[in-house]
Amino acid sequence: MKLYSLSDNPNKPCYLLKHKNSMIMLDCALDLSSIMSFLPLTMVTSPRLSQLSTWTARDGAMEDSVDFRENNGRAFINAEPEFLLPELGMINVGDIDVILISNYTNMLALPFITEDSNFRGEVYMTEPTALIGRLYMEELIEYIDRCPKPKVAQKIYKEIEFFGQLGPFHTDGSKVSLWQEIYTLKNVANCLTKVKTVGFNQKLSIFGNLQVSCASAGYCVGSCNWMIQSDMEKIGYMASSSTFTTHPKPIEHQFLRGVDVLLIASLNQTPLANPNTLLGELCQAVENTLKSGGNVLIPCSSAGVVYDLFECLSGHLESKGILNTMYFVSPVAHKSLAYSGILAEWLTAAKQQKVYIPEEPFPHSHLMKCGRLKVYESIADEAFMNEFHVPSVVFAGHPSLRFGDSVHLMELWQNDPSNAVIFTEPDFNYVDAVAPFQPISIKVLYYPIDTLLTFSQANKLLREMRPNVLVTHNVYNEAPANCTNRSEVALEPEFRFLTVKRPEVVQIPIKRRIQKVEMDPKLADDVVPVETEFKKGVAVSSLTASLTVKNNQCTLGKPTNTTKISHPYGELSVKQFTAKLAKQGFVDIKTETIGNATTIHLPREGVLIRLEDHSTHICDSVDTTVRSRIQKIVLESLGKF
Amino acid sequence: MSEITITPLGAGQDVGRSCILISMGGKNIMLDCGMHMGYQDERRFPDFSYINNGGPLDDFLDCVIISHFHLDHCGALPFMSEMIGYTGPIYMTHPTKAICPILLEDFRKICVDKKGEQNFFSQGMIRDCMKKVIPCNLHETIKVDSELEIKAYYAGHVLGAAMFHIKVGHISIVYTGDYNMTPDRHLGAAWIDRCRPDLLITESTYATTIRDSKRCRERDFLNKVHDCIERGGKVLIPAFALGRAQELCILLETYWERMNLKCPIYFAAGLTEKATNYYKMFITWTNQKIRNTFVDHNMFDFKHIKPFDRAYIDNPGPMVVFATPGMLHAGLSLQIFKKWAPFEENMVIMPGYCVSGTVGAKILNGARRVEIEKGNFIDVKLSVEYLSFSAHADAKGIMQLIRQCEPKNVLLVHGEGDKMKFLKGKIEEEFKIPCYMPANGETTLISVPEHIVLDVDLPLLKRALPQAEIVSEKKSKQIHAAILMYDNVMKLVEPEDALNELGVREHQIRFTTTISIPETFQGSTAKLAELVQDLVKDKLPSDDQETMQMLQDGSLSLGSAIVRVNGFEDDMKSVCVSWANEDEDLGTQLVSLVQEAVCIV
Repeated sequence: MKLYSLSDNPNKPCYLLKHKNSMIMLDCALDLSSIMSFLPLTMVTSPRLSQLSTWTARDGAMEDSVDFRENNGRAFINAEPEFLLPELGMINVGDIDVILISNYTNMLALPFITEDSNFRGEVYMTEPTALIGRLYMEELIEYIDRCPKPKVAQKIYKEIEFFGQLGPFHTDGSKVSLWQEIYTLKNVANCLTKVKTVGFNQKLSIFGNLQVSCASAGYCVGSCNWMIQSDMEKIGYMASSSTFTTHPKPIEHQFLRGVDVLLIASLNQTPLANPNTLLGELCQAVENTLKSGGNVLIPCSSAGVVYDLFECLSGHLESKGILNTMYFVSPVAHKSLAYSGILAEWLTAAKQQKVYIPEEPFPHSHLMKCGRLKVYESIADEAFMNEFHVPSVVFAGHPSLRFGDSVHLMELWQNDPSNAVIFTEPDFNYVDAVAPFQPISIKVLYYPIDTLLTFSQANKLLREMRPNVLVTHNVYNEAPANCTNRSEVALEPEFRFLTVKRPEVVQIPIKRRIQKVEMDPKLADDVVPVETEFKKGVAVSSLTASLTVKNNQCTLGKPTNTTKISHPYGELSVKQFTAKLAKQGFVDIKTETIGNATTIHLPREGVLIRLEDHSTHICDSVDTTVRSRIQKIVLESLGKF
Repeated sequence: MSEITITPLGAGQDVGRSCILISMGGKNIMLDCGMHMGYQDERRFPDFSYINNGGPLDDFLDCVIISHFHLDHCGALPFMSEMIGYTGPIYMTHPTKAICPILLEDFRKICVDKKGEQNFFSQGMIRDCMKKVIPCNLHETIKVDSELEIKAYYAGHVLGAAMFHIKVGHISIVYTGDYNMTPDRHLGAAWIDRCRPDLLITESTYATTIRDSKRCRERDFLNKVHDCIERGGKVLIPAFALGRAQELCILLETYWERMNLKCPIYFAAGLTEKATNYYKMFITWTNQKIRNTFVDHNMFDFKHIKPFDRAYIDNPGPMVVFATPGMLHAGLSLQIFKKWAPFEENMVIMPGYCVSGTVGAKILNGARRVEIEKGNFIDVKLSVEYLSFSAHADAKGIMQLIRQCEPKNVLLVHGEGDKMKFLKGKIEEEFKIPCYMPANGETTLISVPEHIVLDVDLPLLKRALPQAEIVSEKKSKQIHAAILMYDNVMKLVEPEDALNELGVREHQIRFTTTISIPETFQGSTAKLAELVQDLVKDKLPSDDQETMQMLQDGSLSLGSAIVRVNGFEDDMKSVCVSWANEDEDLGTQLVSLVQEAVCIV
């Protein structure tokens, strides 16, 4: 069994598992960190951003091909953002049998793999993952298409080992050559036709070879852990799991218990912070800002934690008598809220119960009906311009502040110290996010709401699950040098622990020894088991069968040729044997023993039988009948199966 | 041989009171727990005293599965669980769990409040009963216990209707409940994978009908309604609050919009908004089209359809009214019918199946004078139309489902005996599989072949099937091995490994036969050997030939057998054939080949 690591970011997993002649890709996340190297996209020209001075690298080699701009000591590319793809050079996409997706945040690179390639497999994910994953992809495309920018002359900057040496340019230069522009809506639509939606605990067969199934991971709506099973081995893949109670169906603890191999990905990025405390602080900060007449911008993703934020924040503000409208701005905001109302089966029991009343599982629609929450596709909507009142709380994408409506609101509010921008997504460094806007007076607050498993939670779960082999990204095995409590910042290797990083392949020490084979009952009828005196409790029989393979399942059936082969064992007793020969009508039996060997001579038949240590040799003339008679007697005198 | 026994307590050669008992692999399962609309006495519910000879149900039943929310499938549930007593698990889908208590409460109100029945289940009992329900998702494998597994498939029919695949060890059955193989305006078509159950228990409501195209029936329905309101008549459509009604509402809503009609449409039962809310929230259970468009336009936000008030019954002028229940056996629909029946400009459209004994069934049979309550007869002058809108599979659909899941046996329930007989013949003829149709209380026994699984040593399997052949299909290969049988595991190993495992040493038996060569023989050893080789190539099966080798001393080796020509060039005496016991066949054949060769030379 082999595992290929195709992504370098443990929170943007993409692995390939090769097992039992099957190739399974585990997740297909897109690393968005590259977009932090680009200048924010604006729908209308921003006087400030457009007048940033051009930045020239020391050797000046790039200035003709790439438009670099400098702000506050940092350089940004002034072009359409590009994305870091998983490492595809080490695999053949056409060999992938199936891609398993664990949640909607881990599938944004999917079209890069399934489209314009020789991909022929299927993609498995839950229904909410497919619905919301599509929204995320469409949103990303819409944000970029909204603000056309020159495309980087790919060929030029990718040929030059240039980015590695750029001081103020914050990026991993060695990966720049793998950057690619975003896919199209057509790619997305086509890609999603290859998706097969699955339910929790639905057993799926991969060409009869392996069985895969998934169970709730507790992280977001429809998020799941995967189990890949053959007859004897169980491999677990646990990515983006959470034991923290928010809206999704809780994690199924038992699911991955006792697996042979466990691959863990996407653990908490702020393991020492408590989301509950931070959520409280966030509500307080919003309250304070509104009270002092300021506006709050919360750059966020369009699904997931934002559902909880609406619920908590509206409750908090209402209890304080603050009834300012919350605005939710994203091209997919409407759809995201609509989906959250119809996916009750994938939510916590409390939210499920509401549907039986019937009431909506989330309070969104109630908030919308009473005007506390207003939803727009874009701040350019006429409706938004008419209905928008300050001071307000605006939830807007994208959390990176590189595109989307959050960019405009940031520009609008960045110079007023009574305003606040609150970052909640741990995926993006908030200092990098605001870098192109510097200098700013707006309060920058960071309350990362990360509900993923922390290291101590993961270590606790691992002690329950007890996998034989644990595989993770190597950073999860690296505790900082001066740390006092390792279990809070790294995984504790109590088991056989393998680490892997991009682009590496690890051989997972699991040897298949046994396979299940079905036996035709008709064949079984012919089996006559014998128990030997040498070992009690075990019966044995020889078997001649015809083996057929259909859909990778082996079946033993009745053979066409029915000659019975038996396996004699032990020593032949000369006395018994000669007695039997006599009984069967052989006469003139002459026996001669020298040492361990005995020779029996049947002169009339011209047969010589030589008995030695565990062997009988029958030398005869050509008479087949005589031979079979003797053969029968020999076999009768021996133990056999 | 294992067995499955099936006993319908209801729905055996009948429609209504669906309740089927299954025993398989030591587990006992109840499929549906319905009531019969055609009876008012104790025959209304299945005879639960049959189970466990009247002993506690908990001791006997491992689980109860409810296929959908129609009362003929779930109406007896609170009676069984709360009044007779059952505390075990009850499984149904999420929408069924949501809607079923509403219909039960409706039914309870009609029986207790209207008819004044005593000894009926209470509102609290419905609530307690529903607490025992475990909701299931489509395609999710639910482990009832360590051996019993169930899995739900989409059945169409009504919102949340499911077919269930039930598995104990290697024995499995599929119970369809009611299903529909053609998508309609709000639901998708039933679908199941090729799960090859030992038994398929299917409904057979429309065992002999092959329905014409859906479009025609829809146009027909709309024309009838339109004609009636044109002439100033009132249209009554008795329907269940949930299900057909929503489909007809979608149909009328779009027609009204298109034709710009102003005549009011009312939806009674007080459930309208609530019922429609269920559809909005369980949109994932509706068909693809509604799911795709629900964000922009929810199909269940009706513009033309308004809630009904009892006072409207006597309003003048045309109107269309949906009222429950669907079979005109009680409640509001019957009340409206009573008022409107005597006028011939009015119309009643029966959109579904009516069980015998109900007013609905009587007027469909052409009765022009019916007894509504004891001694109270009314004349039926209004026109009576029947529209097969009921979302059951027709004969074609049933055959299609059988083709989809490839069962080894079929058992028909939920249909009329005569029609079942016809379908049974058709199934047996087309699929060549046994088909059963037990009556209520009659037990059917189906034997299931044993399923034996061996653990095979991978090296053994790999030797038998070289890499390339693991991929290629359907080629069979003969293998020889030994089976080791432990308490609960059987292992297939190489015979040598079996000997080692037993701690014994093989006893080798070898045969050597010497064929003497006649004095007259002219020729060389080499020539003879060549001849033998040619004969081997000619006559022996290719499998044996694979191992053929010419040894340095001129001997021929095949498997364990050796053919050696003794003597020197000019002094040949004999040919020796030697083989081990396991190659007995080969040895005998070689001996005769050598004899043949000697003769030829």
